[in-house]
Amino acid sequence: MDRVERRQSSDRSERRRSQCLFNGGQDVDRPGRGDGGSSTTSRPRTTSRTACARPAGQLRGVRASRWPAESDAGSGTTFGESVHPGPARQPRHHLRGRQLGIPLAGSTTRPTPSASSVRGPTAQTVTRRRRGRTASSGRAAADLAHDPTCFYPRRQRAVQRRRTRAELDGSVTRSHPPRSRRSSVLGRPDHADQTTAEYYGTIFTIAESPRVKGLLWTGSAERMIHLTRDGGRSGPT
Amino acid sequence: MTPKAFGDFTRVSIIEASHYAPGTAYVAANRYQLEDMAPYIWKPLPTGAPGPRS
Repeated sequence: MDRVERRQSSDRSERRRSQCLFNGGQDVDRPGRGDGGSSTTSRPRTTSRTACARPAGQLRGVRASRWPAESDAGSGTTFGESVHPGPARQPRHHLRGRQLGIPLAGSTTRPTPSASSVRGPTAQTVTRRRRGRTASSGRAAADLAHDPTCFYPRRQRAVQRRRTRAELDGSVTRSHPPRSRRSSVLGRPDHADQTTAEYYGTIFTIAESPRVKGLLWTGSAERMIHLTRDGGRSGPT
Repeated sequence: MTPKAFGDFTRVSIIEASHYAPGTAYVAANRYQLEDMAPYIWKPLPTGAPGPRS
């Protein structure tokens, strides 16, 4: 397991470096394609940092091109799903809605771009960006539904790209509340940086209704099933 | 929301919201942590009230 992970990460950094060098950073810096997401994501500390330096005023953050597509992520060593909703891999609900031809209830009129098209910063995305910054967490959570730029890390949190973040109110995972805290008590895991599989408080699966906006199901690794009808604003039932 | 039949050490592995009936979902779970290798599938009862419209 360790070996696999290490090999994978080294593969990725290799790819990133070569991308940066061969593209001269252009692909990385193309506006509109990128997302300006969390800037805390780790970047390889290589000399390519300078090669990838962006001009001032550009969005910062992880670019879609920095995430390898799942198919070429290293000889089938990927476990689980890629969480990045880049053009190469749309979120599940989005894909399925399109595949089935179901009109997404409450979805914005934004056209679904084909996987190969490069999105420019349209007026709508600008609006969304602006709204995302000012929205309260509950509001933002409701706005996430059926948004193709939305993805759900499975730890009681719904995060949109461009730094909009919304917590699902209340706990949806715990069957043992004391274990949901981080703790250094002997016998309990203490991984402050969560470098490994999360032991407690893990949303193992999440489903968004393709029919009803804001209808989210979560299933935890500890038997709990919860449902929210408003994207997590008012908490699970 | 959690069915009582789940009990501890039941891992909810997949939930799929129904593509046709709002408020319905299908749940797959496992209990391999109890050395129970059988698959489990639930269909929760319809929730009744419709979700919010936008």
